[in-house]
Amino acid sequence: MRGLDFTNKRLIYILAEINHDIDLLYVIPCVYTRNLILNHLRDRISQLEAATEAVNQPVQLQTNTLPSKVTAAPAQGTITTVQQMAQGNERVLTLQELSGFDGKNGRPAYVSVGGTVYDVTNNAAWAAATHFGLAAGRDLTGEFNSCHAGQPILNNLKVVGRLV
Amino acid sequence: MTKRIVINPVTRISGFMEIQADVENNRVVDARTEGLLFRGFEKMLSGRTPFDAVYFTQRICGICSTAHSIASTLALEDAMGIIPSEQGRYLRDIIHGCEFLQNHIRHFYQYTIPDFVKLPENYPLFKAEHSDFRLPQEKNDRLAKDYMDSLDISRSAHEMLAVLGGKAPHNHGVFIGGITTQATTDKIIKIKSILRTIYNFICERMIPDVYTIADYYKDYFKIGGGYGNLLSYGCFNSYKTLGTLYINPLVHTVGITCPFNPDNITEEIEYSWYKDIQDSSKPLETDPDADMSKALAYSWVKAPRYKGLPCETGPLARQWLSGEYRNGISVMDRTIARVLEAKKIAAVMNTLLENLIPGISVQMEYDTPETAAGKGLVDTTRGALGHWLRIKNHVISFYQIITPSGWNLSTRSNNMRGTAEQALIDTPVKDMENPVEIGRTIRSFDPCISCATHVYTGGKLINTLQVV
Amino acid sequence: MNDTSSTCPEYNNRLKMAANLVDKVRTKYRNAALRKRCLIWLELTGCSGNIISLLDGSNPDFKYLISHMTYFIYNNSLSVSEGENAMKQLFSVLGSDYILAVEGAVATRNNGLYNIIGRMNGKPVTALEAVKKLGEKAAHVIAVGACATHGGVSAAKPNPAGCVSVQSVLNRKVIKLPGCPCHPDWFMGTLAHILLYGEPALDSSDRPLLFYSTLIHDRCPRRSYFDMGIFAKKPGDKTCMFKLGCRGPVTRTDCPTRQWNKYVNWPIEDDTPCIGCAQFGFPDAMEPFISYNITREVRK
Repeated sequence: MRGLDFTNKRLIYILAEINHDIDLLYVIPCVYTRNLILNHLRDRISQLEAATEAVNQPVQLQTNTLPSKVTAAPAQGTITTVQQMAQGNERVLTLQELSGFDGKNGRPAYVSVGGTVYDVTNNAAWAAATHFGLAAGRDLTGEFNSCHAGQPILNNLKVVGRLV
Repeated sequence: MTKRIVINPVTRISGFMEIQADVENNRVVDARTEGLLFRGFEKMLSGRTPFDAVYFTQRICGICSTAHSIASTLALEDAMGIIPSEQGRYLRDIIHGCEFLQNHIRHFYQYTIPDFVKLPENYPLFKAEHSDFRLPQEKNDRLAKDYMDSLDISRSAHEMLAVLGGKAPHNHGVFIGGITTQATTDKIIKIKSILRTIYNFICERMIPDVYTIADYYKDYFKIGGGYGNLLSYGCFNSYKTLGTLYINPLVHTVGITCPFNPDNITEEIEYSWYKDIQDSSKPLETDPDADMSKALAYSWVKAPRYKGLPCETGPLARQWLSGEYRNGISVMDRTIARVLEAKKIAAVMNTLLENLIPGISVQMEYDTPETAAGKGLVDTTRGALGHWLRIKNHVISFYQIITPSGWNLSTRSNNMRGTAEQALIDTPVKDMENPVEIGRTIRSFDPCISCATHVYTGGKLINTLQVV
Repeated sequence: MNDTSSTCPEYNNRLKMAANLVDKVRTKYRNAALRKRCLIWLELTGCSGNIISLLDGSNPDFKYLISHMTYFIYNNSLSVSEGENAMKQLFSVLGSDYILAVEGAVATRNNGLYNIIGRMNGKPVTALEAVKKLGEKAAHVIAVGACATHGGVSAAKPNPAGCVSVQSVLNRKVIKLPGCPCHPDWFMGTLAHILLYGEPALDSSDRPLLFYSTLIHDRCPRRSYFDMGIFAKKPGDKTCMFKLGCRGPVTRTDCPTRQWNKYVNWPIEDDTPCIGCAQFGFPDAMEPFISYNITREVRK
């Protein structure tokens, strides 16, 4: 239950920050800085709200409707630990098979980055199953890394399998 | 003693041009005009989706972008065997008419008038060096005011265009089958009301203005004649119920007028930088390779010919061939014809508007053909425009464009000069320091170098580049 | 903020700074802030569509531009002067304060000979030379339109003329106004900001945030159709055109709210998809513009 563990850690962290802010408020004389800290505090409270809700409900990824279970070692590269894959139903595609998913004529649009295959059929940035001159149905690890390294984009993509 | 005059840039045209004129005893005996812009659209289009050509080719030119969207659409319809509905044609032609009006008003006031009318000198843009301004103060001031007021009018022509076309320049509405959106009553009445304002301006101010200039510059009726071969691919023509509202495809050469036949178009490359496969070719047949080492060649532009003859195309050709204005062929006639044509186009548009049925959708889902070939020939703002294309494996494999400025400002071949080259011969030059006659003559053709241009006479090897 | 006797030096500074700024603005307003400056508009390797678009502007329009905002010194399409006289006028701005607007890309093949903009002292002046000479010394350089901003259509594959953006030949900041063409308001607004308040706030690609901050997708009137998965099958339909190839989701500019040609219409309202003309990468990275065969799934 990695998800729950993660949320608990988060709660602890947020509460620590809130306490620190309150401590500061006791000693800072400058009205301007006090206002800043109050803003910060408000922000932390809403994060607290969100985290509490998450604890009360089991973590459900919006992008993956299959039952969640963590399987093998996480893929290399830019995929985070929040990714979950289906057990048993995990799809495995070769490059050849991937090339069939080009988003045309009734076929979904898939792309692979760092060994994971994603479904971009309805992704807003993939109109006409193309993205800045790149076509779906291909491995785009190199292109992704040279353009989007460090950006939390893959988190929001729907995973459909692995590339072999 | 022959003296060479060089004018570069020729301002108040679309694009970049240099004129070199050899003058002897105050008359032009030889002339070269060189287009100084190269981008290579025909090469760029290879490999692209056929439908994209409609948007891509518009970027050939900013002042006549609609013209290219129309020719491209016609070529695609020809290749795919699509016959647009009459409502689709009316809607598309209304957009085309808007572009005509925008172009003609801007060409007359912003490009032509400053040659003949002294504009207020407190604007650095209007600083003129010559003094051949013949209008009396009152008339001069009236035309200078009209220059300024016309800016609102030509702008509203593009406003009209955007109502059906989405935006201008580079509209979105023109497409296979007609246009993308549907006419609605509010759009129709909006266009009608803007058109009324433009029409009134043309009748009450633009036409009197051009005749005022004609009154004081009568010598220009005898300058810039050329060969007198006239060509039109037709426009606003052959509607099922309305017939031809403006002009059918016609050609007038060696004194005879006859229907235009596209098979008679060839492009000579005698003096152009292409490998000699054969001296001339039909537009869809060959795409010769470039060869800048070819002896005697001096330009990238090929020489479009009809039955081997260089032709003039544009408002004068249309007004003459349709019988509306047959006063003559000269610099002044060309300018007058353009203004009269504006009035004609506005009237044609009104007819089309009255025949619109609101709410009709003319679009369908299309498939790109595997293999096809087609051509789109239409007369547009500057004259006859043609797009030829071939599709292979669902993408464009070949694209050829011959623009009106290609006809008017072509290279020589078979010892015949191009149209404008010939028109410059014998032009009198009063003041060698300010040879205003030359610019005035060339501007009467409404050159568009971003489209295609080159004019040359003389056997000298010049490093000239041009094109689309 | 009643406590002014604070021990925090930073806070005290802030109060003083605020007061200083307010004074400055007050003074500027009293001194009639809109001061005319010299403007040259260079057309380079392109279609010259941006100057036409400029003429289509309203409030402010072209007349206001040349009477109240600038001393408009030179433009290939509009200057009355021709030949060497025109070139002299163009280069007369060197040594004084001027703003340079450039449209069209810079052709570099054959050392720039693929685009000659004039002759000076008998020698041809290439677009490349002109933009470098005038660009380095200008108070501000504004690249107007897709070609000047990033190469645009002039640099489309295979780029026969070797076209590049204006920035790649200049060693100084260039404000970029992408668009094909650039909307007249984007140019006029940027220029007005320079005249009134100095250089506008720019994003990391040097585009004024004033016009280029939000995605078309996020302000699209058809967004609810996208969210519900209701897609248009062909141009002319009234629903989301994502499946036809709409590039609204990757294009940052204000077409949905500003609209075109005296605010009457814009591509999506005209029932055609956005082709991403105001985003870097247009046209190659935005193609295909129109596709009919893209899978239409309904989102869950």
